[in-house]
Amino acid sequence: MMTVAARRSPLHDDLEHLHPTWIQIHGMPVALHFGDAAREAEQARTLALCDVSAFPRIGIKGKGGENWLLKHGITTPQKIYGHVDLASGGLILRTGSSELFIEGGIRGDVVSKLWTDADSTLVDVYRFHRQDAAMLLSGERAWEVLAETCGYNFREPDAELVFSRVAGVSCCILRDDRNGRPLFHIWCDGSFGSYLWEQLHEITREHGGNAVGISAYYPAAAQLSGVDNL
Amino acid sequence: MNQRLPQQPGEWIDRSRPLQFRFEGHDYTGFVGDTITSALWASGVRMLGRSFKYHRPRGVLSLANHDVNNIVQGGGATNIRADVVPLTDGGDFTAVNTFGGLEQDSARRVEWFSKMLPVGFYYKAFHTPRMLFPYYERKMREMAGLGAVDPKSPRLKTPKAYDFCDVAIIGAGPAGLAAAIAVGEQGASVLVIDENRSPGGTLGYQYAADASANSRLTSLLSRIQSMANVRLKTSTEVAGYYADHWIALVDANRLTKLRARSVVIASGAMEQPAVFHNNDLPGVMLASAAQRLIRRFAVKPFDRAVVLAGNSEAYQATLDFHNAGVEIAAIVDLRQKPDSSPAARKLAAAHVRIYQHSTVYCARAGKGKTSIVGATISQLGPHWQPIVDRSIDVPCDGIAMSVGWMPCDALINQAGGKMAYSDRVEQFVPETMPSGIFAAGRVNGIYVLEDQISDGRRAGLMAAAHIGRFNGAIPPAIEHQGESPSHPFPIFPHPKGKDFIDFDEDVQFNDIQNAVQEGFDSIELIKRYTTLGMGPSQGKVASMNGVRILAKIRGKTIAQTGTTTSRPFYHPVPFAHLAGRNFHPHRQTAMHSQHQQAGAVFMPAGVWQRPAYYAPHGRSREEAIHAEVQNVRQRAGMIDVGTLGKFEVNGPDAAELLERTYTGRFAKMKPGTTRYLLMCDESGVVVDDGVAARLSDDRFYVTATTTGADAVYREMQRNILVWGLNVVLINLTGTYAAMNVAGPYARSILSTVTDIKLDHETFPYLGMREGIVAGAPARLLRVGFVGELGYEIHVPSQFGAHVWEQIMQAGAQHGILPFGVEAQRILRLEKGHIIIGQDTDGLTNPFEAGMEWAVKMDKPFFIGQRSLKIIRSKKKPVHRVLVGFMLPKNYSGPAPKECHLVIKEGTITGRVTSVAYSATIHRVLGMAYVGSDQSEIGSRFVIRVDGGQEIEAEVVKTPFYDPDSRRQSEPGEKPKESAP
Repeated sequence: MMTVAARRSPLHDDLEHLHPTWIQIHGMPVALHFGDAAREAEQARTLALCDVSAFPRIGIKGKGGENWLLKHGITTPQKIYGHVDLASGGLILRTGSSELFIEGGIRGDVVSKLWTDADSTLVDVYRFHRQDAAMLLSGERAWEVLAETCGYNFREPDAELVFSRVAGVSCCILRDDRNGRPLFHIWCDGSFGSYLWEQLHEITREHGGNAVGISAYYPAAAQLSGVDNL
Repeated sequence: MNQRLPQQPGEWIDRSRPLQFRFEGHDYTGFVGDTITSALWASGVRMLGRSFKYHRPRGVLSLANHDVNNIVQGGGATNIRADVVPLTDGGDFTAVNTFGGLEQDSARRVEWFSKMLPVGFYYKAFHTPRMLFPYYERKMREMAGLGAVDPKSPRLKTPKAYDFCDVAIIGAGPAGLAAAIAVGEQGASVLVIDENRSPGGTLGYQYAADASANSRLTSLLSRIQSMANVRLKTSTEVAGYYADHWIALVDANRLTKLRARSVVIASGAMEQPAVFHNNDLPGVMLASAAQRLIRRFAVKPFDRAVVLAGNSEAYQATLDFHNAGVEIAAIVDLRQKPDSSPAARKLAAAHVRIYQHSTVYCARAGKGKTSIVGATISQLGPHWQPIVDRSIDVPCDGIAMSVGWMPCDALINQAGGKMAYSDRVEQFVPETMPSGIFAAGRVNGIYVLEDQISDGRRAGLMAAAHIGRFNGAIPPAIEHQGESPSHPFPIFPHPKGKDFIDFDEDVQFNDIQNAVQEGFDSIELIKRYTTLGMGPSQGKVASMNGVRILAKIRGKTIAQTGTTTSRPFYHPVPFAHLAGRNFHPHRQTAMHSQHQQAGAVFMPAGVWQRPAYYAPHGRSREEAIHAEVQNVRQRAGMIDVGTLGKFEVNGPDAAELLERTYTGRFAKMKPGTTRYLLMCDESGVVVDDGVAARLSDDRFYVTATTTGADAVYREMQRNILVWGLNVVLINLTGTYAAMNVAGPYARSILSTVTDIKLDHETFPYLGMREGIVAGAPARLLRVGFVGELGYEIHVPSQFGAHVWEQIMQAGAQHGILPFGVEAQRILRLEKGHIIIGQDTDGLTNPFEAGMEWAVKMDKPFFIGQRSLKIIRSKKKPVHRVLVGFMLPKNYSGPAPKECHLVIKEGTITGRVTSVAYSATIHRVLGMAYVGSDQSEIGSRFVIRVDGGQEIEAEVVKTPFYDPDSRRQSEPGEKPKESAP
């Protein structure tokens, strides 16, 4: 009678229309690619959009959060809106003086460890679910998409985590260049996810880009889970 | 007649690429690089449009988007500015605002009655009789306006964009280019914007005959091209300046929002016309327009010209005409002293006739006024008045006016800068500039080319210094030396009028006079009464002459007279550009796809999309809603309530926050229980409701209404800070999916997908439990908004679809079906539960809404308590009360609707807030505000329905259905508070 709950990306239906090859990552169907994986990897260098909502996330509020994370071996960024790469993959971002946000990445199990910490003596540590729609926008022409959707100047040299509107939706955006190429993490409330994807996908296509599967950024993704025609 | 000249240095046209197009049904040829106007003028077409009021023929005036003589439509677009819009192959254009075509425009007869149509005639003529107002309105709408919108035009993609730079340079003339280089050399990022297709400004047409100016332009541009940090954006208008150096850029495809750290305005100046009889007819144009025709488009402006001169630039222009093969009939110089410029000497050597201290008194019209055939030249008297009996007629087909300039200072004014009139240059110049904005060139009153370049460099360095990129010495300010480039009063009224000041609106000299006589004697009043400067070109070639005339009539100085207010946009901006992509964010719940598959018809709830009802297999709306209602009452239904606001209130002061924020008591709630929440504002008005579930001593899970969620979160967040409470508030609205399983089989269904004990003893009504549902971590709230046994299930939203599907699957054997908002409205109405915002309004207090039970007035404090105490103390008695009502059995008359009025003795005493036919009760039932003297159970009141008919309703006790609430709380158990 009881089943194991399946997670579903807020963008699942939008991706399904693009006929992806699905795999399971962290209990969620993830688009591995939509056709030619090699071409998508190349696309990611010029202009591409990818759903990474499957990565587990946790929000932490309260003044005790920083010390609690330290006990788990996680160093927090000191600067508000700063971020640090997690050793196990993923990111930790400081969204306020006593607010932190962790995204576990494709391999990391840090989020589940933090959720299952049953320490009942925790003081001033409040964990909460983050059910964001999460996307990667990457490539040399990613600027053009952001120029049409967001009023923030991401070319500012000190640009870090930014709270701004993208296509009218409140988002967190992090510039996180990889290999000298622009890469932006975009997180928004999952309920806006489908709308935001639709807008960004359309604009990305107008600028010569396209949606890509997760293998464009994580070539080993297929090894994490068997390819599954869901 | 082909007026195309041999190749000109720097011409914009590509002679190897001809374009075919049509205008007013005739075929023409132009070249890539032509504008519509230049191609027509090159083809010998002189009449390009008709004026707005009198439908007089019009031709080229400025060829710079400073006038709207030539507006066309075609290809689905309207109000195309033919002077500046590039010609396209296959274009098919017609002039706007004609009746029967440009040549045969029947409205040209309006001019015959022009004496009867003075300024403001419509104010005086069309006020009585009142019954003719619709006729007047229809006729005026037919006559007024420009192009006709084609509703079949395809939607254009006009995405907006954002751009950023350290310094924005507005204008790519000599001053702007010099400024760009000065800033660029300091390493700052620079964006130079110019509305013209090619940079250079006056270097490209006014100074084009000067070889050194040409090489100067080449040198400036090559320097700019060598600087990676300097961008040049042409064919782009700066439509407006907004706070903090936010600049609206408009090009053919989009509106760009540019944010700069500093701005240099080098926008130049607009040449101004002289005022004389028939100064509007085709063939009379600004000298700079004629130079643009020659230099940019290689088009001969006229064959035989008279040049009206008020400055030295007229002589350079005349020389350009002469070199282009135009026969110079005469130069008519307003000034007393002969011009001593090199150009004047060359013209004298060429035996060009010059009439000193004279004016063109009138242009002589050709047949149909579609061209001119000559100029009447009059000598001027000691006060610059024409001596008419000393006039001569000179045959010509063109009159070029070169009498002065007006600065393009709109952006300076919009930015809050102050302009002051300078007698030295007879124009307004910047007096004070806002922080970070610097002016250069002609807009700054600098007219000598070398001075403009120096002034541009100076402004560039000042901008660089402003952003911390330059700390060297700023060169001293430059002032114009020598004769003024503008004549102080190039205005020569004519007894027959048609001496136009505003070409957009057909405003003549005597219109200003009449307005002043009627008491409209300030420039702002003149503008509104005469419409001077109110046309599409916003007074670019009109307002300065208007100011000069008003000053003269009133015996004031220009400075005393002032100017009108400049507001965005500088040029009209297409609505499509303003709309952009039309981003309209909307939210979908985690189960959106499941609703779609079930045939949901969606409705907006704030920004959310919610299923209104499910209509599979073409079921009608009414059938679907009533089936859903019956299914909940008889079996089980599930509704998506994920749109509710959801918050976690954590910390030692969590209960205190709720105590202060809501009207009820929460401090003593036990973990695992829920309680109804009612929120008022400080005036005691009901603003939101929801449910609080206590998770632990220092932790609550709180819901709010769908549309009130954001405001509730903001208010609570603000109050935590104001009150200094130790509370951590977390907004989980989008984080949690939520669904409500309701109906007699709700427990049976749910028990198959969860290990949480659901029996009544373990999980009573108004209880809350945490556990696993369908494999997902869940919070269950046992509440009963729809009046049946029900469980609200909250799970992280990424599990929402899965849990929904599992429950629907588990409930199939019990006949579970989804139900939508419409069915929920009926179900809760049968229970008499109110919906905040529907059964309350912006004035409703809890006492009026019958919610006194939810208000604990004896608490120390809650928001709105003080106001409610005043109301309760009868200082402000309750005048209206929300009551339940029913219509008689088997009622078959017109149905009342929400917001229909409750009437008592001809006076409005209330309104219907909710009404529906209940298939459960078999009656039309509803809720309504009625006068407090109408609220007794069993009494009757009158509702005025559509069409004015009045029907009678009876006040009844609520709930209408299951009055003891046994179905939701189980037999034998009654909640202490009759909460939903």
